[in-house]
Amino acid sequence: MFFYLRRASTYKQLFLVQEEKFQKQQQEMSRKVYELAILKELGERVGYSLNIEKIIDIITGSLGQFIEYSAVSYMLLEQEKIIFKIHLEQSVSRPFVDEVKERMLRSLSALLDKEFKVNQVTETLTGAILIEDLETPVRSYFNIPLVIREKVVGVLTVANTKSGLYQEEEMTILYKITKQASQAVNKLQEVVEMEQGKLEAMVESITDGIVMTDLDYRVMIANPAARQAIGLPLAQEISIFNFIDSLGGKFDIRGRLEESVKLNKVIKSAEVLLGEKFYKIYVAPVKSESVLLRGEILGGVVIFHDITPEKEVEKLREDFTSMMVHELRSPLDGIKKISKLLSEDYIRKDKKSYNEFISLINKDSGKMLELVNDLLDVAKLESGKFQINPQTVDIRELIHERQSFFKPIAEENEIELTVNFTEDFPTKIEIDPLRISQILNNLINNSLKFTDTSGKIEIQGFIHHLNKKLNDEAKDLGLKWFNVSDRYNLQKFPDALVVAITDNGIGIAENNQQMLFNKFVQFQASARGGEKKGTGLGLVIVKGIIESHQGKIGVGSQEKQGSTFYFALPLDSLIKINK
Amino acid sequence: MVNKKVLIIEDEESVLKVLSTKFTHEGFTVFEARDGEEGLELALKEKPDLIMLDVVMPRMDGLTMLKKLREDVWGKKVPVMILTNLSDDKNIAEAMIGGVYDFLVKSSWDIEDVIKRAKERLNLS
Repeated sequence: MFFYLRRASTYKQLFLVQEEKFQKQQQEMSRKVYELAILKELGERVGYSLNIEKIIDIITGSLGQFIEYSAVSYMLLEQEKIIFKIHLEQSVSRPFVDEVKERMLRSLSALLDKEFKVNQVTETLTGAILIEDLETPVRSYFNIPLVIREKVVGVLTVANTKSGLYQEEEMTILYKITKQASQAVNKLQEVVEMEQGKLEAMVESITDGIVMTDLDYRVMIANPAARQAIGLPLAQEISIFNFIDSLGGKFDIRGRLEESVKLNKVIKSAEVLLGEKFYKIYVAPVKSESVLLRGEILGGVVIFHDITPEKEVEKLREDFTSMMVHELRSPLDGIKKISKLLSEDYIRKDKKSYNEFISLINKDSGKMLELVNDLLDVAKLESGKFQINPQTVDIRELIHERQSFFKPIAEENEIELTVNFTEDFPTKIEIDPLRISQILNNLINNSLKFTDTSGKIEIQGFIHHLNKKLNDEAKDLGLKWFNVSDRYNLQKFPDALVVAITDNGIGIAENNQQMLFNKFVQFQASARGGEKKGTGLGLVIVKGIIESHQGKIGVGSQEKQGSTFYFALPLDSLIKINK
Repeated sequence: MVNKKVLIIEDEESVLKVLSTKFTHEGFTVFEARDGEEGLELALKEKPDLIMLDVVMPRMDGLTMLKKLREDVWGKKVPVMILTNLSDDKNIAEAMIGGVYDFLVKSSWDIEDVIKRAKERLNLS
């Protein structure tokens, strides 16, 4: 019997052990189910929200099923405040809540190595009511950090008025849940970041400065151009205050953002000078495109549009106009004054002076006519109404004619002006003889202006072949020739007739060479003593005429050594050779 | 005979000739220069009683020349009249800082007026 009893008790014991094991398994199961449920819920909510506060609300909302506590609470770091939310399962006194709050704040300070004050905390209290008389000190307390992507964002705490709670088991569960939640958020954030990365790469490459803020004016996106606009280095953390400081009284960025979001409209600034650049600033609300939140305003975007290039063009245009006015007014003024003077007796009696003034009138009116013609040519070229009138012409003869025309001026300045044709250089071709003469006049004139006395100018004529570089071709022919850059080397240009004018004058600096054919830029080269600078229109017209012939113009030069200006006319298209 | 020396610095040949002829006819001794560099050199050498100065010129423009002229002890006090057909405010302001006596816009004046103002400046009328 005893034996039996004993056995029975053993059985019972065995049964109890079994029972305990079973219960543990049950617990384990329910924990797993709970974790799964939480994760599922997390997954669903997180699916369209990265709001950490909401996620933690989910965790704390269902934690009670598993851990016993008087209060569950969390603290979250926001830009300018700390959110503190505490949910009471049972009534406690005010000092209990305050103690939890202080302890959490201390942990947060320790975790982030940063001082936080109680007055930064916004408190939300839910659940059971506070009862002042209750003697409820915090006897058990457990605290875990909330980490998202290796960054502490807050702490989660359970507290109890009973002592001795929260052993390893509870702690493990809590760790596990928060860890999984954090992992879910991480994963989602990775996806979001990847998408964001694509977007950012796009935004970064935009030349306009772009800043996006949320509704609390936190800077979500600021591309390099935006940083550049306010002169902030790339690596530095950026906030709305950087913009407020840099914009000073020039533009009320915060006020405009508020206005734009509130009134749901785009605001445009007048010109704002930041550093050395001019900007137009646009402020617009950012609306959600997602199905759930369609039309909801998420924040604002500020765009800094750099208008400096436009301003520069405007300035060039003004300079150009003022130069033209000057160039037209001066000779006109001279004519007016001379004609007045010529009415006086003492001039009329002085035959020499009289003739001198008559020839000055002739010279001035000629200058004006030339300029007016140039302006008309440019206007025609720009409006696409420039027309050429091709005829069969002996190009060799035409060039020799120009040589004879300029010979006296060249000799006057002791400059040697020669012509050098290769044997295969054609004679009869179809071109507009007046226009090609105009080009030659212009190029020879320039050479004469920029070549010192006892210098040399050579007019060269040869044939260019497709796939060959002009530089090599000129070298093979033994021509004196200044290297042209690849852009002017005509490697891909079809067979063409080339006429070049090479001098050993003062030359043109590399960076000035690109500006030669620009209407608004007349580079600062001083012509031979006393000579006037031109209007800068000549080469613009030359380029236009050549292009009307399907041709190309180019330049090669070396400072203090000389220059080569050439034009090439394709043999097959416009030009028919009748040898 | 007024027995005064005037230096005309002007790159526009016809304007230079007209002024030179007129001033000579009025009895001035005239010196001519065609750019700022030449003008400065001649001014310091001949020390004229009055300088007529153009603004837009090659090599050295009028305002640069004026600045250099005012650095000289003698050049600090010599009366200068600006000749120009550019009428923008910036040039006027710069010329005022340079201590120029009179400012003229070429196209709007008559040659007699220039002579008159020059004489006034030299207390000849």
